[in-house]
Formats: sequence, C-alpha cells, structure tokens
Amino acid sequence: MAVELVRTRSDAPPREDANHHGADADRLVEERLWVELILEGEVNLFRRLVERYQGSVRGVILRLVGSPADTDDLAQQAFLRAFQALADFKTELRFSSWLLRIAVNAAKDHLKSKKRGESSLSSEPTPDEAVFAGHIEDPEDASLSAERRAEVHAALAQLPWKYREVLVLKSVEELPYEEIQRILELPLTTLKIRVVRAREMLRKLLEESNRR
Amino acid sequence: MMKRRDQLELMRRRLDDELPPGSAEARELEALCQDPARAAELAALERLAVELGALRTPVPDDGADFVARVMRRLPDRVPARRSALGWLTRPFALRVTPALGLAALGILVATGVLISRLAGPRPQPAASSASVSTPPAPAPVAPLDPGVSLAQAPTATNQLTSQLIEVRFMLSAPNARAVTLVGDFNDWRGDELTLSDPDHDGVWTLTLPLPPGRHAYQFVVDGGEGRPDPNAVAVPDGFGGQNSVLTI
Repeated sequence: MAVELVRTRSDAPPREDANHHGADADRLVEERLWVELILEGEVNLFRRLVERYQGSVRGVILRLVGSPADTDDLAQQAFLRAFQALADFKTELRFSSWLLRIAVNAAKDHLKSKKRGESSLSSEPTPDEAVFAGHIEDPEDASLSAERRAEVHAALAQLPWKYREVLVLKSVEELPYEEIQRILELPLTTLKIRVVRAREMLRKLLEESNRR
Repeated sequence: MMKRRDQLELMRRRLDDELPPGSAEARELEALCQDPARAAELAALERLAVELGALRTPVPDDGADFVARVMRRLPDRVPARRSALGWLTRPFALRVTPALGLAALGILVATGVLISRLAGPRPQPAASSASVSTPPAPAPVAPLDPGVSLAQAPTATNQLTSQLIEVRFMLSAPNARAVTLVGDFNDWRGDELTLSDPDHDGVWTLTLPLPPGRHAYQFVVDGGEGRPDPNAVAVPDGFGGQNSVLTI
C-alpha cells in the first residue's frame, strides 16, 4: 500500500520573520542599533520592537497557555521583562529569539503559579478557552473545522510542558530547529527527540479522543 | 527490519521537509509505508502537521492599543546590568510550605548525624568498611568493534552524602569526540552532563550524585541520537526506543 506523502501548508499565514537573508541581516543590524540607543536612554525606540514582535509574542503565549484572557497580560509582562533585562541582552543573539525565550518562560511561570506543578502544565483549557481557540476567524482555515481545531488545541494542552513548548514552536509556529535551539537552549538531538515524542503523544491523544 | 526509533526519525525528517525527493531515505520511507500500519501512522502524522500549522492564526489584534499599554508600563530607562554583588546582596522572598520545611529539617538533622559520626572516634578497621567505602575500581572494558560505542554498566558506589549516592557512568567509545549523559535526572538535557576521557584511552566516565531510586538514562555520542547502555537493564521508552534503567 503506497502512502500519500503530499501535504500542504497553504492555510497557515506566513511568519513575521520569513524574509530573505539580506532583509534578515538588515533587520538584525537595525535591532542591535535600536537596543544600543534604548540603553542610552532612547526608551521610545522600544515601541518599534513591540510593534514588530507583538504578533509573535502574543501568538506563542496564546498557543502555550490556551487562554486568550491571559494572553495580553502575559505578552505585556514579557515585553516588560525584556525591557528590564535589556542591559543583559547579548547582541550576538537574535532579539527575536531572546524575546521569545522570555515569552515562553512567562507562559510557563503563569501556568506554574496557576496550578503549581507539572500536572498544571498538562491541564486542558477551560471549555471557554477551547471554544475561543476554535473561533478565531480566518477564511483560509475553512479546511479545519472549528470542532477539530478545538480538539487539537485541547490535546495540545494535555501534553506535558516540555513537549508542548517544542511542538508549539516547531509545528505551530514553524520555526526552524536552529531558532528553537536558541529559544529553549536545548541541544539539537534533545530537541528532535522531543518533537518526535510530542507528535506521537499528540497523535495517540487524538486517536483516543476520537474513539470515545 | 528497521528499528522503531529509526522509523520515527525517518517520519520526522519527512514531516520537517528534511527528506529530498528521490533520495535513498525517501525511498526507504516509501518502502516502510508498504506496511499499511506504518502508512496509516505517517498519514495521521501528516494530517496532524497540517492541523497544527492551521492553529497558527493571527491573535485578534488590538494593534496600537497593545503597544501603547506596553509603553505606558515601561520605566523611564533600562535598569543597569545586574552585577554578581548585587545579586548576592539583594534580599528575596522565600515561600516555604510546612511539608518543605519538615523535609528541610529532616535533611539538616540527617546531615548533623552524619557529620557527628564522621567527626567521632575513628572506628576499628573491621567497622570502617561499613561506614564509607571507596568507589570500586572500574571493571575491565570489553574490546569493541570499531565505531561501536559500548557502555560500561554504571557503577553505583555507596558513598553516602546527604541522601545522594555517587554513581559512576562509564562508556567505552574510542572514536568519540564528545560523550554526554541524558536522563530523567537532568530532564534529558543533552549538554549538561559531559563525560570525560582525560587519559585518552577511549573510556569516558562521569561520577554523578543521584538520589536513591530508579533512574532512566541514555548516552549521547558526538551529539547524535541517544543510545541505551548495552550493559544495563533496558526498558522501552514508549516511543520505539529504549532507555537504560539504573536502580540505586
């Protein structure tokens, strides 16, 4: 039996940082300059960084915590933490990787404080949250029903944190492994093993939920 | 018959667009998918990949309002870099539950008892072997096929230090450039626990204090896939691979 190996990703919107190499390098230089000027007192330049990355930060946080009600506040906290730690930012890093690391940690801290312990990080979103996840309007996503979207989102929320974070960054945000390495500070091998395990766990969770 | 671990890795590479069309690996995957069960598994993972990608919808955007709210919360300037001295002298709040307090008290008492015993009169030779023993010499390592890493079973010594037991992990890997240890004791992080081979005899070792109990682990050679210790008990990891298990 042959298997159909073709898949499409046309229903996913392009990433904010999906520019070509030249523009990417320009962006890095530009951001390093902004950071230097902000450190010298040009605080208003931080607005440019917030404008550029608010979509990524809010998206990653929403996918990790599953709660739109908490997303904005956590995203604000992430930017605030980044600003307060900006003197410690190492310019050889990408600002986006550094910022997403802060955002992932903010999401993790939030879930820990909400229900303390690993089990809280495996909790399902409340029904309202799951419904929200299925109700984001996007005509291009008509191929995925709201019900199925909610199922996938709920299964994702059941994964232990270390699997959820790699799957959100790799399979939802579609970041390259090198970028995720910088964000999570994990070796490539560990990262790939976690992605394989996360996908297997999610597949089994969804199969079980379909059998019920 | 391809190992389960290799099957999953091949599927991962397919899902992550790392298999060039027409490559030997791509053909290997197609051959694997002649098995209907594997074909169904890959198809399910492919569907899941598309569904996960579709979750990446834009978060409802309140645009300028969000930016304005962030900017309003910013202090006037970026705080200065945190110095080590500042960290040492800055007070911090510590939240302790009664259970944690009791556990800490227990550890303190146990440590006090241990110190008092060690500082007391030196026991007679017959009794000394029962208090603290030295780690046993490494067992001879079996000759290896070139390129094959073979693990020396971890040697648990009974050097008791505050509830921790020192365990020596050994791996014979003459051609390796780097060997690390991953396990549930370090959350499977691959870059923290590095084995060393100072005398360049191809035997890599690391001594690690671990709490009593059951520990699952693997060795990682040259940043490759984790591999179980062939001289230790192995159990399925639930994903087609195997973890080595050490019980101390």
